Amino acid sequence: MTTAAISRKALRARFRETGIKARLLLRNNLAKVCVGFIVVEAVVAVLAPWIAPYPDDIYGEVHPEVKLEAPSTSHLFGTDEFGRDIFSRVLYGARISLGAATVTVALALLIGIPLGALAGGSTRLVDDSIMRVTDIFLSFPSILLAIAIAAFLGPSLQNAIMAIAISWWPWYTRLLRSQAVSLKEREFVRSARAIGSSQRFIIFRHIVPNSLGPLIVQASLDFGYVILTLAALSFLGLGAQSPTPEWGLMVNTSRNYFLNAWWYITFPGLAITLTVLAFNILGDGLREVLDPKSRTY
Amino acid sequence: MDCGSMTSHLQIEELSVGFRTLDGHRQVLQLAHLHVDHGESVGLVGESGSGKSVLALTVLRLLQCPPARITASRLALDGRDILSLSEKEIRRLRGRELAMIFQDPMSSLNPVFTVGSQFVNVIRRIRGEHHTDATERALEFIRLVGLPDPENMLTKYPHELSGGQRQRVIIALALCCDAKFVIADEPTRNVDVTVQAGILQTIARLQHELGVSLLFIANNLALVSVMCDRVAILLAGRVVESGGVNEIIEDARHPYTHMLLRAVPTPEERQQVAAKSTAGRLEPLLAGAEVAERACPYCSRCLEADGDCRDEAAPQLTSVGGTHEVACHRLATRLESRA
Amino acid sequence: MNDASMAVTAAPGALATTPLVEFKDAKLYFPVRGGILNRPRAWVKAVDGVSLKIAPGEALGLVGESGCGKTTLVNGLLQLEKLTQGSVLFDGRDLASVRGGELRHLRRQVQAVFQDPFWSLNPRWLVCDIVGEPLRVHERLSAEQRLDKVTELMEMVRIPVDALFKYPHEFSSGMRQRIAIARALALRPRLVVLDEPTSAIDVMSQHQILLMLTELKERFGLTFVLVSHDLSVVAYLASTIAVMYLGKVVEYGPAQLVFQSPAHPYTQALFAAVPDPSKKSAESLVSLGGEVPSALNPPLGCRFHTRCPRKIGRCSEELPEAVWVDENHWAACWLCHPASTSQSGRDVPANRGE
Repeated sequence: MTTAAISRKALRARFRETGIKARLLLRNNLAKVCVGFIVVEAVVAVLAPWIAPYPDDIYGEVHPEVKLEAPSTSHLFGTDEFGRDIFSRVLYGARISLGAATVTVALALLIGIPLGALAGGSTRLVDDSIMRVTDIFLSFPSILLAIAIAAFLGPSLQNAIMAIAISWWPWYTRLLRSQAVSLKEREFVRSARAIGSSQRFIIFRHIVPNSLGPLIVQASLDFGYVILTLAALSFLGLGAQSPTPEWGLMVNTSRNYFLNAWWYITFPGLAITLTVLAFNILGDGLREVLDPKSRTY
Repeated sequence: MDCGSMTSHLQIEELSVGFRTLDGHRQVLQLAHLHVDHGESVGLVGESGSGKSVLALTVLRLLQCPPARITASRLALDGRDILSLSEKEIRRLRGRELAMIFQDPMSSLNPVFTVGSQFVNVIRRIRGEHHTDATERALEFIRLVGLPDPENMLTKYPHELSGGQRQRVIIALALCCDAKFVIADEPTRNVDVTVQAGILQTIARLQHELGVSLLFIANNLALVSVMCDRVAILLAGRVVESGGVNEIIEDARHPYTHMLLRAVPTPEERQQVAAKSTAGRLEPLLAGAEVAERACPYCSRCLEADGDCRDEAAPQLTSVGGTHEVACHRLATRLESRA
Repeated sequence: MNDASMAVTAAPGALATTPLVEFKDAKLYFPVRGGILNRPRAWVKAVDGVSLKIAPGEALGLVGESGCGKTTLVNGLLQLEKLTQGSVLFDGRDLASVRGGELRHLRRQVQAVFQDPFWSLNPRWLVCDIVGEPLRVHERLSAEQRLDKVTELMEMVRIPVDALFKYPHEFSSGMRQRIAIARALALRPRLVVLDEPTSAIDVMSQHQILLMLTELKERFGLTFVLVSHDLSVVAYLASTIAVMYLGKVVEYGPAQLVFQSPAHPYTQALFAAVPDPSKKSAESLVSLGGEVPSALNPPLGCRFHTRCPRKIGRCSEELPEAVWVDENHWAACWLCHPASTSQSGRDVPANRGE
């Protein structure tokens, strides 16, 4: 068999495995709904500039003549104090929130995984040094840390994303380290050492792939929490700035008008809530699928 | 058929236990009949996955009934049908008339309570005695299981005890409210062999002294042979052979029982390997063949199975003399005792 | 030294050959740390002075209960733990002083099969990668060449080739253990350590695997070091037995002799404690009172004296020296010491069999 054929067969085997897990996940109706919701949201996020009914309203156009209008057929979610279509802005907000969450979680994983793997798989000295630094970060409530960093860097969407990523990586480090430490005692690691595999090979090819389960679960839950934190920062004025259609910012601005314009606070707020809820439920569903103990083989 | 009599302590007939899993219904137990008479010690031998622990949990009604589905034409303790009891009634039964010794002493004892308080909790709940009386009773049973220095033992936490000591505490806990029917689920599995011997002796002694009926679950026939009068061999949820212990050891009829008795290859088989004449002799004839779920549970591993074994429904237990029963299609055609 | 651990015995009939493996007063202590600076406060003496020789082609069975040190000893042989004192030699080379390329070369010759067929294989790897890992680490082969070798190995252990692109969890425990055996043989090692190879498998697979191991041993001229608590497995596979208790070897000799006439009280108790169908009741089992002492503070004198049913005064004072009780069979027990020489007329072994 050629090398190419071998890789193909291997890939097919892995796909089959993933397929089984995906099917297990989707057995639950609630999980189906949440996955569906997230997929729709992701599509919306990508296509927002093209499917929004009033694309110009997203960033600049003001229409004072239609300001604060209740939801209607022409403006599904109503309009804000500048007459901008809230529906279009909420759609675009999905792009911002999901995009920011992806970047943040990716950055946190990129920093957290290698550090955690190193800490768990190396000598005590390395382990201790990395973990003490991690502990320092972890001792601050993450949102407070994010606020402090954002305030330091200056209020803007990009800085807010940076701030959140910086305050988020320690959780992954700690998670991966604990996985690494417990997996070190497993017989397949003992086997690998007896075979003579190098320490680095063991960490990255044996330990990390087996640690991904809890990590994936945490990452999916974190998508929701990052979105929430970003909204919080924007709400506090430290994140996205006007006129960016970020959900948290919209909720903040809507505070002044909510007695008269209930739609202004409701729809962005609902967007945040439903998104976070969907990721939470997805995370729980993934946990059931990925935890090897719940397997029935 | 040896179904025991109406006066058996435990009587099981046509018990079927299955679980609803993500992949459909999984049948775990399919018992034709099993009984334990008063004062008798019956062994149940099976490997992991054979359903033996499920049987214990079923008798104690510890299985959650939605994922589990239990049907039986008779499951009676002292004549009382267990399956029809209400939750309240079965809780009264547990500890008072029916008790279980679990296999893992580490997880069966609550780590945050002292041995003494665990005893007192149980005794007070079941017998409603005062604290002092309960403590007295606890001391009595701790002495009975052969633990030294009972007063001191009451104040210890489970992690301060060795594996053997913990197992004895579990035995004492099971017996302390005068339960007359005890199920011991692999009580010496996690214990070294020299400590195991002592525990087995304790269980055997207590069984005689207190006159309890014992259902002893184990994964090897040797253990059961020193502890029990009768034994049933369980494979994939079905009893494949049962009868008096001595009878089965001297004259086992089912190939699986032979395999259990002789866990390592015979010298002849070893010679064959040395002479390089292994070939198909080691591989079961039907390996890889599709086996219907209702067929004989051993046929895919049996060295003598044929097409009928695979296609027909699982064999029934048929008597081969006295209480000795075997479930095998090829009983008639098999030669007399091998090995 | 009076230490009985200095008794090193050659395997039966192989006195002239260089032993494949030699333990010279091997000690493996594990520190118990405490205090602010995490300094070692006490030591767990897992292996406390073991001297043994293993001849090529032999099958040594290490027998003993939990805490006796048998697993730690093989970990030392596999270089998974460093010896605290003493040395272990493979083919005459001291493993502690071997580095880099030479260590890798030695690693190829000693492989292992472990107890847990589920966790000894990486659950996220495909079977072909698992069996091919040793080839990947030690040889420069293309993926195709590796696959060819792996296919060959799978045939040796009689697993269908379509299993190569599956995951371990798709197989039964017996088949997984065979995969582990295939992996252990990938580099054609000279010695295979079998650490409880059949204790987690069903009896039919155990049967098959034992036959398979016998066949493979003959075919490739392997040397086995078998660790097992199951005496029937040891009786089947081992040619020599070493009985361990609390870090020391208390009895050693050809399997047949040790089983037929165990000399050390611990060995006798161990054999007599095993339930066996010929014993009709639990009464006939021998149980040992007391608990295994802690390895942190082993008893003075003979380690076993606190539980020995036949101890004499000397046992609690001096560590027994090994004494021959038979052809190539010795036991470290004062009871086996006659006043002068042993029964076979040979001198009490002092500094061991070169």
